[in-house]
Amino acid sequence: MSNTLNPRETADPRQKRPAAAAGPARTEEELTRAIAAETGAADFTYKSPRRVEGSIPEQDLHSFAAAMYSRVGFEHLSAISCVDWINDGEFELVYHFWSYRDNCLVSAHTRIDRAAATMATITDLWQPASFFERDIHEMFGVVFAGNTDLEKYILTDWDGPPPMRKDFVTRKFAHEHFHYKDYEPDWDELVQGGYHSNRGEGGTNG
Amino acid sequence: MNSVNTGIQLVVWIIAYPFIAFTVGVFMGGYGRKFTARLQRRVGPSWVQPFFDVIKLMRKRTNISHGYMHDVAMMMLVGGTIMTLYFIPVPGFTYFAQYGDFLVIAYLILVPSLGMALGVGETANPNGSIGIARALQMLAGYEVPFVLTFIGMAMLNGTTSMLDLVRIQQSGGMATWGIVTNPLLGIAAVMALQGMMNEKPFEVIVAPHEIATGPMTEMGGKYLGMMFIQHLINLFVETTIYINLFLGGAQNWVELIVKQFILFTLILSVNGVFGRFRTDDAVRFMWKVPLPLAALGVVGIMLGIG
Amino acid sequence: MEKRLTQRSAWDKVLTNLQKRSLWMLHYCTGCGAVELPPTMTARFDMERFGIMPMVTPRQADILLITGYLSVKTLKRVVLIYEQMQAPKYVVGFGSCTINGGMYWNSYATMKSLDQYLPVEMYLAGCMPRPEAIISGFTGLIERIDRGEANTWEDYYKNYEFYRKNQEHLFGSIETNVDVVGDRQYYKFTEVQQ
Repeated sequence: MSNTLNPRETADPRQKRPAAAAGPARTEEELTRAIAAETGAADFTYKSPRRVEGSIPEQDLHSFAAAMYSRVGFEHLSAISCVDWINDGEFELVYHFWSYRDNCLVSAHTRIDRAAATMATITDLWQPASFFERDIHEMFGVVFAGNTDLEKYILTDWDGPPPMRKDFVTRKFAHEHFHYKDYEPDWDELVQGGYHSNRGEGGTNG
Repeated sequence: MNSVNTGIQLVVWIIAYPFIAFTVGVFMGGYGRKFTARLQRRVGPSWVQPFFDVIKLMRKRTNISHGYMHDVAMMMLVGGTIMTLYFIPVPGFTYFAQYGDFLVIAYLILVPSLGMALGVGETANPNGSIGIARALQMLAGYEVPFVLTFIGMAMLNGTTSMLDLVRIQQSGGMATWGIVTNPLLGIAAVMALQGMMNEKPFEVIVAPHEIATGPMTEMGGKYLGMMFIQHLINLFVETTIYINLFLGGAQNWVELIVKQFILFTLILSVNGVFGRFRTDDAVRFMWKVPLPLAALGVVGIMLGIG
Repeated sequence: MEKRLTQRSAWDKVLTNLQKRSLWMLHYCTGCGAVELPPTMTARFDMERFGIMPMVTPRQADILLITGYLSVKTLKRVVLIYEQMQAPKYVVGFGSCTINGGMYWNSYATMKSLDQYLPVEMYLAGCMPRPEAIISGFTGLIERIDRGEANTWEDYYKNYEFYRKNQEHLFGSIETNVDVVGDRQYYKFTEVQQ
């Protein structure tokens, strides 16, 4: 059945929707089979109602995304997120695709090398993906090859290292650069019995 | 109306009259805010809140002027309204009203708008320019029906002097009030009055969150204080014009103030329940409803009915 | 809080008594604490009965309410706005984040202590303060104005180099088009050596 709240139904009819985006809704298991059939990625599994996830190798992601759009019918890119696995030496990028037809979110996980930190861009498929890629570039330092507009927009006066990386210790940085009022500087040790000093300098980004 | 003042009484009236109008305006403004607040189930500020606002604004120590024209234009704004004030007959002071008729009043009432336009244009703020453009557009909207209603009253009574109109209405009693002898003109004038006083739905020139209060954007401190003073005296002026034309004038100050507050309550009630029309919607309304009503009224007078 | 003892004339006292009943707040909501302002302005807690109304441009406002955390990016804009406001003006720090960092005390992008960058008249503690606390804070500000102690706006002129140094340390130098040094001479304040 068609989703009457779908903005594409009332949008400009000259914009062509992929043919696979029309049709009856599929269940999550049918979707995993459709993804395996159309894109060749066989390890997508049902996670919870309306959530399907799986992994993709880094070099296949662009063709996977193109196939998801045109052949499987997932027309909406919800978000791109990034996780810093500092002990593995890798960044994990997660691409979230949503389908209006099936009301389901498919999350594709890829791993890229932390030192090199480059990835192919998908702005040729979804131009607004540039928003997420600029965000990840600013916060993690990942360069998206092919995206010419990686200008900073959140931390416009920032000239330090990418702050969301786990080796950037935000607490130390804040104590060095900002001025705090001088009352009981070690109150947290007194109150919590050394909670922060016991955890060491692993960064308190979480 | 009583006889014309001379000598020392005249001088006292000339000096005191703007202050009296300002005081009545302060109470009207405070009443307006209190009424609107109670309508919204709030308590509302003090009854003399506009007075505190004006004092606060005049006590600002920084004054940011945008040039000589800006300063002069603000004086033109307040001066124009005070000049208009003198030509309107009120109980006890009719000296200038015997020399100036409605045409003089209709001319002088445009001087504050012109002053505001010059001053705001000097500040070079785009929000201000948008506000002024809207104000002048709305002027074209409400001024046409209002002047037409006056022309109708002038034709009916054979005189353009507001003082004579007041005398005619007072000598004949309530049956000769403008709104009774010619209800079409009266209703058209009350709609035009809503526009003239910039109350909702015709409040678009202020539009606080859209264009940052329009013409008042770059005004602060004493400049804004002058604009507030002008606004408060304007409340007095415009309600008195309507009362003198259609509600029989007043024989003493108590009657005048009671009539002003009743008329203002009607204006505030409409203000409290409406949103804000766009400029083109407002002008369209003014030319679609009050203007044909006023035209019908004038035609009726010419044909001898009503 | 240091008391500022000033000799005021009777006329000044009378006018201050009238002036304190009309304070206009700049309707610029810098952080998440701004969500407590609509309840304070509407029917249940009605701030307008104290004469406090929201106004939309800095030229018309008296109170600059820094609601919640202030990121370095916003601080640059807030300094521009503060310098455009007309004296006497009152900065009220709203919420714990303006006092000593609050919930974002270890963040790399928010400023921690507002009085390093702007002269603050009053702090309202809480995360975030409820409308009753806001109204109590505003009535405290009104009383402070009545006593003649609410003169921290002069500090900006007297200690301009101190504030400017701290601001530039965070976001570099900006051009505000306001001649603070010239205004200092106009008001006849003397520069305080830090």
